[in-house]
Amino acid sequence: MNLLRRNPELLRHVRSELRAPRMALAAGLSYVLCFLISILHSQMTTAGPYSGRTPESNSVFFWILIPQALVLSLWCLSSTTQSIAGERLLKTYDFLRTTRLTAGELLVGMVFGVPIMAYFAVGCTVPFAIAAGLGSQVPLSAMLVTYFLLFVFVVFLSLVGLLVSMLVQKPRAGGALLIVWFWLMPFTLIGMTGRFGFPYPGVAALTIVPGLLPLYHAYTSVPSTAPFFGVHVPLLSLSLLLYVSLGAWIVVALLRNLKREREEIQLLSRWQAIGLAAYLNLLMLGFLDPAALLGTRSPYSFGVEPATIVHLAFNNLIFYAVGLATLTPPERLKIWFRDYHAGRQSYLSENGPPWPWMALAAALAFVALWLEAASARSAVPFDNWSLGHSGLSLMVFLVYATRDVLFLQWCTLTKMKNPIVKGILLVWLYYFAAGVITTPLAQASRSMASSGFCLLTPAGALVHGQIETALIGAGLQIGVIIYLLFLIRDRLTRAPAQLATA
Amino acid sequence: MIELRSLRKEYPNVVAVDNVEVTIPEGDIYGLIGPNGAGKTTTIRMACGLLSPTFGSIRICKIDVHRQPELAQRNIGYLSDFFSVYEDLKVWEYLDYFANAYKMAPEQIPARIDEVIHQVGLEVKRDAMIKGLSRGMKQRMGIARAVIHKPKVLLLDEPASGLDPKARADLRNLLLSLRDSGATILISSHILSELEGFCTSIGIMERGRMVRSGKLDEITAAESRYKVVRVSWVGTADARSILAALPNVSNVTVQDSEAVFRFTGSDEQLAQIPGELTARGVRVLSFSEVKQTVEELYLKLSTNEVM
Repeated sequence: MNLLRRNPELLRHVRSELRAPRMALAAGLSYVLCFLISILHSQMTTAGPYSGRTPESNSVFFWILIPQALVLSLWCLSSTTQSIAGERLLKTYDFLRTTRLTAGELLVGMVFGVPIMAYFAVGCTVPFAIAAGLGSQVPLSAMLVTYFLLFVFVVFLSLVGLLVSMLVQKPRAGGALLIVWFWLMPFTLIGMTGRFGFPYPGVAALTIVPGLLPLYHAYTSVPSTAPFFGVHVPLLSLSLLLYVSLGAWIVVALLRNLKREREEIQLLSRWQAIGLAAYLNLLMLGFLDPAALLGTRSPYSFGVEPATIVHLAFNNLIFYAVGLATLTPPERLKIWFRDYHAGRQSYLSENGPPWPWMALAAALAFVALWLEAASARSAVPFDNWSLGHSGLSLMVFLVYATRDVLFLQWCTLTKMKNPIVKGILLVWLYYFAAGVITTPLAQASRSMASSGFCLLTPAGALVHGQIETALIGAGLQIGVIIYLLFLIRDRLTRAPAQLATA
Repeated sequence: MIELRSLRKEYPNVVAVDNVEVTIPEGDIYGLIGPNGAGKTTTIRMACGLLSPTFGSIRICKIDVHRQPELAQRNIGYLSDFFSVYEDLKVWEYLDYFANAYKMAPEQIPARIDEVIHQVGLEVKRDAMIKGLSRGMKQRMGIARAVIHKPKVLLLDEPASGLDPKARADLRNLLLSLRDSGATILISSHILSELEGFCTSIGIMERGRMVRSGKLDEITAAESRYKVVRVSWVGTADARSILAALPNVSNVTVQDSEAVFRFTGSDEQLAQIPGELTARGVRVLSFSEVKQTVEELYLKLSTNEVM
């Protein structure tokens, strides 16, 4: 509590944002909106198309809750996304970094302080909404749980926004993309979990919506619980677990880097990155619903092979996450290289190359898949998982991810401006080009086009009968990796020019 | 007070600072001079803990800035060239924020804010919003922020950039008062006249290297192979030919009743010149050594050693 009460950063935002005229304006606007929503609600619910819903989901409270959630989450996300990058542009962030504020104090002050006006504006409407809810017989506990979960969700969004802001150069970058992603995701996940027998239904808890629906007896066809290590847990609890635990990883990355120069940022340490990979695989393992593999929970059978594909694809993302989180800042990589050749550091040291840690993440992914197969043995025979094939697929993914991450590492050693962003764009361009180049082959032969694509990308690891082609492709990519290692070595051994500009 | 040891900073393709060794004793005002891009800003950013060095160490008040950053920051006040301030705060709120951020004792903060506001001459603006202040006032706010926690060391990177002559003069006076109160100041500038009569020591940086570093007088003495002397007289006299005939005198230039010449002899020999002139009928009005400006010294050193 002291961290909040005596936090100078939080106090700064409170002072600069919550001036009396602004507060009066925000509160006035909030109440006007609530009043208008109430009028609209009474008009729509008396004879309108919404009159058939449950009383709770049709109450004024629910009508106010939706704009509250939208305003709060978008405001928190957009303001925190612009916070650090904006301060860097104004050159005020350097002054913050030279104070005695710890990274933890800065973090708390920014997460709660930057969107303080959003909290105030929405907070003004909460008593109104609760009073309206009580009038409509909405249980108080449901409303309080809803607000608590919403608060946890927006804190998580603020952490994400702060992380993006720490990484990007300009305040606007990344914000729009995140907003789109976060607002598409709930509907996608509800669709997956509600209508299909998705084998990992617990991931629906990434959005707070399905967890809250049972509180208002709305959309009863959407499952309200999901298996977690075999026990059916309310999605509400899973949402809390996910936001708190994923938020904790973001906090770790922020605490490590908040007071660093942007070029010196390294999101996670080596072992933290491996910990993240293990945690994500553990979540997958916990969320696996063996019954979904048999199609007993829905009219659709998802089966073992698609479940494996989800696992592999998800781990492919983890490889990239581990690779990106462990990219070594160029200066430290140079120091490591000299020390390594002088025998003072090992290949696996903190500032060494990232690829060995990606290999370790791949090993973890395989162990997690084996554990999934073992845990679902009662529903699906162990052999149905074709673990050998999956292991090869993981290897293919690892090779491509390693190649791409090493390419990004090489980019950081060049004179490129924004090397990681440009490097990622170039990697995307490669995959896009691979698709474009192989598409015309489909006119001659579909299998030739498919093989060509599987040769140039890791897609073959997921396409039935193309694993051999994918392995040949991966073999070629190992050549590219060796070449990239030589290029990186060349950059590291090259003597930097003495500063010549005047 | 400030110790930079074997300091080196490498960027992917360039060495911005190379093997810089500087020791600045307590109470010194050290002017870091050099052209734009010489490595001054990088050096100062490393010294205040914003950038970590590739090699080397920085100790301020015997505390390693990169090993114990939060402890070291207690002794450091930092100001950069162009910066913004939080426009939505009042002057006192801005200083209160930084006083708390530097973890000053809460009971000392109000008095210290008033003291600093008085020091930078912003008493009438104490409760004004910062967005209404002029550029010069905001620069003073920056100084006030940098000294709010009574740092023993001030690191100022081109602090007078963008200021008008009046504001520069105010800044100069303010820094002189801070020096008098015992602060050790490292100040960088490429406008050498800013540092004239102000620095006790200088360091000349070029291409990331420290070309010269030390007490201003010592560097001047070491680098001067001659003295520049000015003499004036009354009446008419052929001072040029008289001076030119004297030993150790060269480059005599005469304008009206004043001559400037170079002298390579000792102080004893120099002291005899007024007598020689008087003996030859020149009625000497004044006779003085022309001190080298920092600018002249810099130009001399950079021409001799670097260019």
